Amino acid sequence: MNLPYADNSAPATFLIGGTGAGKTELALNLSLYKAHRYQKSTLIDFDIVNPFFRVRKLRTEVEKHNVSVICPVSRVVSGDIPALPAEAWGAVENTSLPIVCDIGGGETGLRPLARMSELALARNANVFFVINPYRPGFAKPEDIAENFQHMCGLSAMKATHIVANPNIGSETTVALFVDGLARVKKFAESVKLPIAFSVAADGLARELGAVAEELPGFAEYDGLPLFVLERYWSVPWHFGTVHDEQG
Amino acid sequence: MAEKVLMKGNEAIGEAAVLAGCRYYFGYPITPQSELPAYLSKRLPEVDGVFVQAESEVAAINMVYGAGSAGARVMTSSSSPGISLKQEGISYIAGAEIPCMLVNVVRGGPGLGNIAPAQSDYWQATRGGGHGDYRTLVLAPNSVQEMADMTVAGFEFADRFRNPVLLLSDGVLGQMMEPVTLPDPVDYDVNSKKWALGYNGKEKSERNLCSSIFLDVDELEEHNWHLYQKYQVMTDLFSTGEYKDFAVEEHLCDDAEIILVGYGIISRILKTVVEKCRKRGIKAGLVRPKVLWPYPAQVFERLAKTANQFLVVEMSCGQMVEDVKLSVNGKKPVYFFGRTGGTIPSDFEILNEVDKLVRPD
Repeated sequence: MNLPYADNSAPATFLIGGTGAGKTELALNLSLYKAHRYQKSTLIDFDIVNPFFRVRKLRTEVEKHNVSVICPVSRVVSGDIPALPAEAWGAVENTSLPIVCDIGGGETGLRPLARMSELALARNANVFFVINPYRPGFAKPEDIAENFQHMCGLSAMKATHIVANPNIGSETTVALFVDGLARVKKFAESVKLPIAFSVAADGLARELGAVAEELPGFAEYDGLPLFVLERYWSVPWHFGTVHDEQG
Repeated sequence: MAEKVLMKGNEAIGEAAVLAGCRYYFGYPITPQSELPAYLSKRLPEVDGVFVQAESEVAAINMVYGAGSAGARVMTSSSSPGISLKQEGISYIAGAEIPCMLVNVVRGGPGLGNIAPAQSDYWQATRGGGHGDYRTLVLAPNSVQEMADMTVAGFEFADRFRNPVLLLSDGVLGQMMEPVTLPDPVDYDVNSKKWALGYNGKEKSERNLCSSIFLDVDELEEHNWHLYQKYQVMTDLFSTGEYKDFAVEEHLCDDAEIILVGYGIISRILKTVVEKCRKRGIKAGLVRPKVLWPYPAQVFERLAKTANQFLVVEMSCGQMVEDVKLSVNGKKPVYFFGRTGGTIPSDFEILNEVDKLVRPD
């Protein structure tokens, strides 16, 4: 199986896409995966949009696993200001460092990335456009196409791959995943971009018959790599722990 | 049934408003509710609706007053400091009996506070907030699904009672994403309100006037008693009438020795706590008011006969606890546990509080 992401030939990964596409959950898991595989990784919190559910909230948790987190300084960490961490530029320029860059989605969240587009290009970075076809604005093919063009333009980034993240959270079924993946595949074909991988939480991946040797890690489903992740955003009063609300 | 989609609470309110026939939104951005106006700024033009980012919250609420007076289904939203700014307009709207939908995605206060979730606007929401003898119907969802469902219900209640309805949410509910089945669209007829300034229906109407000014003392007294009687009707409908089941959720209360009480996001944590208590042999139950005004006092009057004690949990220093105490009326002890400043209590720490009350040794 060809894993375009896992061979580390392009150790910089930028995640772009609409709000709520699942970029932050994916960024956390990808940086943990990289840290496990390459001893260390760096996760850059470039989110200037969302007030909650940001990487910085889980800094302590992921740093235990050799993931360095670059985020705004502590006194503005809970703030509602568009503060970008200066260290982020150094991290992107350092080509030996595996980085994952998480940004806030949507129109406002994508704009700051434009300042990094040349650096990303120089680094030959992976630019993953993450699509969840169950999010508003990404259900119909024409809507996906419009948002894709618009968002790539705002971020001044050229997407290198599509990432398929079809889910409705904890109620995602196999049928729903399969149908959503088909929709994303169709879109990827229309823009002639490869799908880097699809994404599923561990429980769903098992139902799909795809088992990763480690978590987070890769399995295979439907001829594509399937990134099997652990859910870090569970119910908000249990940030950072995989938690069953009924448990 | 419609396909489930994954939505933020703020987005779900926006889509549900459109499905409920709302075609006018006036507001001003503030975290953590800005996804709602952002959503409607795109969505309303698609259905020939009007979205205006006003120059201020004060301007926005007065635009709501205008559109509501004309008979339209109209909404505004904000977060705590912005809702404070709107209070004068809300009082005018209540006085003039204009139906409209208000949304408060509550953040930490007082003052500028912070952008973290809180429940410290309970008093402001349920006691009126603005000046004069008036009441606002207050709905308290606890999931993204209910953000959508209660938005639709809110528009119906607003029209039925010619009264502003407030959806009292919080930052977490606004921001968190959950699967939602969107409600069916409502075919709202803008000519359904004969009292409205914009009424242009088949039946002839009198000259319409929507105002809260009554210069004559006798007229204002008569108007205030009219409002009071309307609030009594609402209270009856939500306590013993057709909406009594809508107003409150009870969970395992029949044999409960200790009743946990919480609304909104807290009620979901309390449900987990109740399950854990039961596993440990503690007979706990949950009362979750879904409507905060009129308050479901009758439930507490009944449970005060069977339960030994009540524990109210809020993300504030203690506001709704006063309504529980009024409802229990001294018959059983009512205790309080709260976290504030943006911290959401965990099930573990609430369980610890239950332990202290049930097993004081």
